[in-house]
Amino acid sequence: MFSRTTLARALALPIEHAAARSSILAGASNTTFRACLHQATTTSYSTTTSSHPSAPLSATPRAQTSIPIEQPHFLTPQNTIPETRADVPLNKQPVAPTFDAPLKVSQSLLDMLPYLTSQKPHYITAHLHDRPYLLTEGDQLRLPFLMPKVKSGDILRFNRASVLGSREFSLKGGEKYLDERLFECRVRVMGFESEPLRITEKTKRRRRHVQKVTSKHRYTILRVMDVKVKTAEELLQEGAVVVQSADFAANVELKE
Amino acid sequence: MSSYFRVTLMRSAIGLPRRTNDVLKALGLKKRMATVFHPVSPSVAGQIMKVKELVQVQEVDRRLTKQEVHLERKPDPGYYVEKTSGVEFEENRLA
Repeated sequence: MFSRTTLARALALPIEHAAARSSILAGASNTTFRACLHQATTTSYSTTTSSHPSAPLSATPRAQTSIPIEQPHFLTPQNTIPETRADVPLNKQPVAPTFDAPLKVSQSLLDMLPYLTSQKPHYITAHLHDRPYLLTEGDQLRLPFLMPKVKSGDILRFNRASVLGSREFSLKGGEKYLDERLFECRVRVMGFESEPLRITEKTKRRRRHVQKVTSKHRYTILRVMDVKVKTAEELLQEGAVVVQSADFAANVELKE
Repeated sequence: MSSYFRVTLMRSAIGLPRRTNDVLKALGLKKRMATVFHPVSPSVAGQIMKVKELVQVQEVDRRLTKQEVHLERKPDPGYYVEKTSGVEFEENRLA
């Protein structure tokens, strides 16, 4: 939990001082100790006692023993540091992404991708607010919340997926999500559903009164328009770069 | 280069001696999972040492605001509006 080097540095503990001093002492008065030990056999007795070093130890620059961990930088759309709850960076908001680097795909992915793309229909494990939804074309999805700032008839794109698959093949992201340029998943907002009015009766002790708390939540209904895995040709057309190294996290694999 | 301690209270101090609670209060840790930043100094290190069983400590390069600490945990929404119904209606009307 607590780095020893950090602590030693922060406390400026005399550990290093003591170590340095003892080593200096050992170096300077090595003969003294030896003389003491071998006093019976040797006749000469040196009397060098350099208990204090010439320069103060604190003046010697100590090497930095720890490197501070760099903290992530979040910037608001106005390029300022987020201070209040209203300051949310664009990549955490539901806005269309912009890409500054082309998609990198490995040659093995391009070789294996036709197996997946040719086998329809496809399913997707789309993540909304980090919650997975297993979807395929034509599915109706009732979200467990009311999606803000959408109207019925709007077309949404789901852009975070962990698994894309067909009957026999699947494309899995590594620890992160799959790149959103590998697939297209569109859903249409069908409307809003509301649950039946729930009434919870609340009572307090020694009080002949029943408080009735009502709740009636609204949920968004979506229908999956299409789940499409882009083919290798489409990826290359859109400017994907083929790299030889296997740093690209996505990998197609045969299901067990 | 100045650096900071990033201290997160992982375990509650309920039932612990008053001195422990006071040290946490002095560090500014009021509830579990609260995160505070303090410049690296011997006095702060000593305070952390007193409650080292309760907290998680990192040495970091800068102090984050409360919202930035929150944003570290906030997941991506995972969707965006590609086309609103109004835009699509106009397209169909003109076509």
